[in-house]
Amino acid sequence: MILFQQLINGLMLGATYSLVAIGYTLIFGVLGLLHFAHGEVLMAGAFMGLYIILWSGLPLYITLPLTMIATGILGLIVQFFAIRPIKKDYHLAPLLSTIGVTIILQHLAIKIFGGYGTRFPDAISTKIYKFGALTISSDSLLIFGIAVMLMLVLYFFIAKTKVGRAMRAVAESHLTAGFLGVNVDRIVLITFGVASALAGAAGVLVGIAFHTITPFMGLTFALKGLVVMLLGGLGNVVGAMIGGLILGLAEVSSVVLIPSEINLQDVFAFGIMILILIFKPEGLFGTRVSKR
Amino acid sequence: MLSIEGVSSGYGKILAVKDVNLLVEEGEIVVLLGANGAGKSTLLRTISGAMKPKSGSIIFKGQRIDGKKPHLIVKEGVVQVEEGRGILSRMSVKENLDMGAYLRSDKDGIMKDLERVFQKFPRLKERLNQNAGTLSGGEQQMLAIGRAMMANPKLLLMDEPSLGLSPNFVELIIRAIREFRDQDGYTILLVEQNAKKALDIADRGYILETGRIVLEGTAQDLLNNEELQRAYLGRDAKTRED
Ligand SMILES: Nc1ncnc2c1ncn2[C@@H]1O[C@H](COP(=O)(O)OP(=O)(O)O)[C@@H](O)[C@H]1O
Ligand SMILES: [Mg+2]
Repeated sequence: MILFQQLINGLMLGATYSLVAIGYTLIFGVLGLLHFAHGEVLMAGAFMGLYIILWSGLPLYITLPLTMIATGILGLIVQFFAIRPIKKDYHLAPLLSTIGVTIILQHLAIKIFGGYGTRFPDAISTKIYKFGALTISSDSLLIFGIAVMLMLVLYFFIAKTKVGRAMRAVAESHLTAGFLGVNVDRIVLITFGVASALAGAAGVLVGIAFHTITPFMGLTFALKGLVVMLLGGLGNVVGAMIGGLILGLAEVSSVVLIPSEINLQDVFAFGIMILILIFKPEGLFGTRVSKR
Repeated sequence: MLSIEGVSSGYGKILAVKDVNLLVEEGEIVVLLGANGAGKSTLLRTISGAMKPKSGSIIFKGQRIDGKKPHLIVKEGVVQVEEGRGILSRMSVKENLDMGAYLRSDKDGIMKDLERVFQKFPRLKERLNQNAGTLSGGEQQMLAIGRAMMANPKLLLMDEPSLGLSPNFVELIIRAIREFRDQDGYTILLVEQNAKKALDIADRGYILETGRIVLEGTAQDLLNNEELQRAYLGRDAKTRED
């Protein structure tokens, strides 16, 4: 029965990984760029959510979209000022620039919020549901539910809308997309906005799940998102969705199956990453990366 | 309709197109010939805005388009079928055709053009929901051309549309290009390796050699040009033997 609660926890954790990884993979898809600062956008989202709730007392269903808009705009700013102006001819330059953004965002956060943990307000009143011997907290259900809903909306957006189709075209080839009349720069910008909005949502959900947020929380999620992106296949959005859930479940199982004083969760996660890199570098579901 | 004046273009410091002057009048098929690496694709990419010319100007319908972004040039009606077809291989045939009409919002016109595409290439209708990456080379070329039709082009730039196709498909594509001029009112700038076939349907032609135009004339003159026959038309005859 504990296993069942763990299963829900695994899905909850995994769904937040999925949200981060989708953003990574969208950006990797259209630019072939590892957006290192993506974890810091999540962190920024967590703090924005926190202050929206503290200052305005707005309920979660308003706080979440507001946070997504705010981090979405942050993503646009990052792309416009730190990535777009950089010549693509120098391979490492955009990556280094996003690392710079990481440091800047992190230190701004330390300056503003302090370098210690801040308690995330209870955005929802936690209920414990009991089904016979089963107990499930409403938090984990809600987080999982919101994450899945966001993923479904994103999936619809990419599969069915004109902008979504243009994003897929840009991910296949900038040249071809341009010849079809797509404003490639704008689509890349929108992609950053969408990815960053999802990261912001993940930040709020992580805040609710873990109750404490810090300016350093970005790194963990950035790295987990990276593992999930590799697991799902570079640029493969559906792969990132499924990959996140797989990683979440795997981490939780590792805790259940290998009880240990020290936390082996991360050993497990990054062990998986190395195994993928060795045996299945294209990921479980195949890569979808632009041939630019 | 299209006037290229003193255009140089290239990669980094290397110029692949040097001081090119080229004219395409409305309603013409103009063919651009040249060996591999002569700079034909570079010139087309420069016209379409994927590359900025280093110097010179490109004028379409009286307006300068050099330096404009590709999507704005498509908006003017200059549409390119790129070398290697540029199929979006992870999308369905239908989605590829929809992407062709990306900048349009005239639903009726789009529907009409879709019908025209199916009329010209019935095979695409059969494959409509298939993944475009699974099409044969010939079918992909039909899709690339059909997709360009969906953009309602005024000037169609075609970069080696018959490359790698079987003789039947080559005939089909060549016929489609001639009909574009004669029935659909498109103006066409055609890059071809298949010099004889291209000159047979073209009005005029240019020969590009290491980035420079070395010869130009009516298609008839070029077909009769002895030097050209040795350089290009002879090789055609040979490829047809094997
Ligand atoms: N992306 C590129 N980067 C650098 N040089 C290129 C690139 N594409 C083409 N070139 C060079 O430019 C010249 C012209 O190429 P291209 O325009 O493709 O010729 P063509 O289409 O006539 O075969 C060639 O020397 C080729 O090697
Ligand atoms: Mg070429």
